[in-house]
Amino acid sequence: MPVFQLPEQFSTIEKREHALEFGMWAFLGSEALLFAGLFALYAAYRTMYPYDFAAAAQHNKILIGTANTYVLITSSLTVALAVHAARHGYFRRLTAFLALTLGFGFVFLILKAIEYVEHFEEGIYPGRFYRFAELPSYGAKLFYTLYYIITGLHAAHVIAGMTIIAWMCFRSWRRAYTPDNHVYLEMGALYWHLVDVMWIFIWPLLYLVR
Amino acid sequence: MAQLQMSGTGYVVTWIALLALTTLSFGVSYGHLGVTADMAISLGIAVVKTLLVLFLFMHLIEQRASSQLVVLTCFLLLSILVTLTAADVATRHTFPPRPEPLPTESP
Repeated sequence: MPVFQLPEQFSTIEKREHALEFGMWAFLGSEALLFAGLFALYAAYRTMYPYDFAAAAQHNKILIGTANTYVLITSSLTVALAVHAARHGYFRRLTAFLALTLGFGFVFLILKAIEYVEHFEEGIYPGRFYRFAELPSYGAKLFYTLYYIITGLHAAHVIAGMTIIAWMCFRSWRRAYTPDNHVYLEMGALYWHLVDVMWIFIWPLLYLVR
Repeated sequence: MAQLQMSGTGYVVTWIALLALTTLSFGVSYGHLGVTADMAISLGIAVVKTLLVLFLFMHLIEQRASSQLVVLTCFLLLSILVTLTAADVATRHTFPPRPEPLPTESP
């Protein structure tokens, strides 16, 4: 294992780590603000159509949504334990935890796909393709269009996060992350935690407030 | 190097707290306490969960204050954006169109 060489623009290892982490937090902030736009849309339309939104949220499948919340929170635990393993040099545990996180990501996507298929069977499509007879109001159509945009964008982030985790899993199997130098692993884990945080806010807005 | 470091047990305890808060949120949603109360409680619990994930899972508690400032700024900006957008829509007042002038009136 080669000795880690500190790049010359950094005077200490701690400064390099801080610079990388700060940049990562700034990026996570920009991702959060991306979803903030969608949450603002939700807030505006919910104010305009309160009863329609509540009725449409009532129809959403709360058990699948809640199961997804538990799945993502547990995946956050496994990726945090992966970083913990890297800090203490437990290489096999590190790879195993990253693989487990990936598995939970797949479970999330499968549950989401089941949910989408059930919605399609009822005629719930986004925008002008919406033809759900039980809730024909404009407000319900708006709710479900927002639902598809928000959860669709979140699912895209889950897939991106899973790609990052898969890459890190492969790299960890090649012993790239040591207790002295694993800041890239920490940053990749931060992205996965952000995906979890987004879902923590999406879940009450789309499933609980009815 | 971090002076404060999360332990393996710490992660598991945080996870259990997050699961408990999720279950609480799920249970309270069946109470149907009215739209404002429902929204306030569920978003309040979501904020607590987010703080737990941010500080403990994402190690924000170990990092420098400048990183924590980024997160605080995001929260502030997000809440201002969402609050003002909702307030804009909630306080709109539309006026009916001006009635047509009678034929005998001169412009």
